[in-house]
Amino acid sequence: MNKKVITIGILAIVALIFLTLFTLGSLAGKRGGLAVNPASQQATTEPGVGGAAGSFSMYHNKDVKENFYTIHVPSSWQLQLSSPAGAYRFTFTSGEATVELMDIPDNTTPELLVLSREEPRLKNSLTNYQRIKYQKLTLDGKDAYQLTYQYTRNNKTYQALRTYITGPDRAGVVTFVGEKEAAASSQFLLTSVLNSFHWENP
Amino acid sequence: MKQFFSILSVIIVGAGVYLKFFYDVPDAQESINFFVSWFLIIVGIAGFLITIFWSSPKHTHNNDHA
Repeated sequence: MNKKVITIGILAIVALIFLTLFTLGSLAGKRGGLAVNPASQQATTEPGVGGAAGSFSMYHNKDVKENFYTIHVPSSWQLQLSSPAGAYRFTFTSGEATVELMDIPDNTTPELLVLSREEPRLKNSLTNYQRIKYQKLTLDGKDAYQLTYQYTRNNKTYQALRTYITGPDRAGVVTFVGEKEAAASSQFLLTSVLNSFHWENP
Repeated sequence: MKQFFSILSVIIVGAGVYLKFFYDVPDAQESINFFVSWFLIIVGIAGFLITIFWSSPKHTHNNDHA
């Protein structure tokens, strides 16, 4: 066996050892390589959006490369700082709202994913799940799929509006949950928030 | 035999490159994809170079009989 072959073999083994140590060490703790960018948690205050009254805060999410987005929410909504990368969770007097990113596998479409995986998941995880409406929309020039449903929690009936917005890599998912009585009165405000969603790199 | 290992090495490198750059990796599996793709690329390239540089010992001792 010549020296070149032995050298290449040794170098390959050393490279594999480094790869193993690197993967088990630094990468293992990153949970998929996603991290919260502190800039994503900073809000910019703006006047009413889409005809809605009151001041709004603009959040510019820069956590996930290829999926930067902006969204305007009423300044009175409280941002929960424990949100994972690419996501926001807000609470307000009549309910709560979440904005998150969802991976869409190449072998499916967002609509198929919503109907064949997401809705069954909601059915299994929520008590007395009942679909109220399902519709296809266009938001920010992209296809969006909106699921309106209600469920029971602690003997109260909640209504949720969950919208999946097709994106460059992942889909944006905006969810509003509130008690059923409050949902109708805040419809215009929620629509304004939803319409303010914008992908930065379409 | 040498051709067989060369082709096998190229296929292994190709599989690694595919997993690294073209495969849609689910969010929770990025670290395992990183490891497997680089593992295949390293093993494939090393295998290909070893196949190229591998030479039979009988051709290297021709001057011993002089």
